[in-house]
Amino acid sequence: MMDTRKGQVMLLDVLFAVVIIILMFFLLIKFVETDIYKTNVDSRTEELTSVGSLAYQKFLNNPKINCKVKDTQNSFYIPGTINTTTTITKADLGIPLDYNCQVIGVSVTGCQTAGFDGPSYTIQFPVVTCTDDLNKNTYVDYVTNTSDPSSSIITLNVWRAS
Amino acid sequence: MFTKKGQLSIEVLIIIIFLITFIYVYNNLAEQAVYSLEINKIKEQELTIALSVNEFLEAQKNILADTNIVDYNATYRLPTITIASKKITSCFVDINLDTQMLIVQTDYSNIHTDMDVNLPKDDFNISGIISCGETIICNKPSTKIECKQI
Repeated sequence: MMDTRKGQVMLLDVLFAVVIIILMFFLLIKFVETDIYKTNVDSRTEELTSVGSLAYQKFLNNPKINCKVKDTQNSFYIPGTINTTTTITKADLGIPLDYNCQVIGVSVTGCQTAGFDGPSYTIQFPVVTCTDDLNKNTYVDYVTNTSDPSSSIITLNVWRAS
Repeated sequence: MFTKKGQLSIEVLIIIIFLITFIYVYNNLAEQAVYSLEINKIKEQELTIALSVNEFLEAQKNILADTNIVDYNATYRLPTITIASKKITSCFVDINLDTQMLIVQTDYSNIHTDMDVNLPKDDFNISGIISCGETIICNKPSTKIECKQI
């Protein structure tokens, strides 16, 4: 009789231990699942941030749309400036087809006029605008604050279309 | 009615069956958990490679618009994919200008990361695939940016 009781107690101990280990394991699985979900969300956010940041950089530093300064011998493009007579396209900003964009302050072909309420990359920045190539004297006047260039505030909004 | 000995044998049998089932389930779940984590780590690194290659190629577009630049080449060494538990032997980037897709693929369960890009065919000529850890070189011999692995 004594032996059987001991056996029952041991059996229950083993069963309890195994059940606890299983529960702990499922808890671990839940943590792993949560971690994977978080990584997926982070990946999508990282991609969106990269596309948005690249578009912003290409706004500021893009010979196709930047204002040009010329003298009789040399010419160069000024970062942070936009020639408003040029046609700016979504491709110029490096925005892929599966992303949408909205730009306020300057017209961009391929971007939408309406914004997006969901997750998006939004940045607002000032740019100097011009309508023609600048000559050296005008540029020097701007740099030395003798005269102020015209400027504009651009709002760039980028989001995933699908 | 079972005898005491018989009862004890059944208890031992139950414990053995339970332990075998437990080990099987535990092993299966552990393998799945490790597999999921490995895929996750690879996908993370594939995305980093895809984004960095796209950023590098986008930067090359500026050269096309600037007529001042005539003699030019730029290089970028692609990162490699590493995970602690396995060795990734094959990893490459395939840029398809027709479909405007950049694909990073490894030999691990055919896991790949696709990314839409905006690299016009008129501006770029990218020949072949580029292996991870290798260097890509871009230059402008004509009106197009030409990129290839060196």
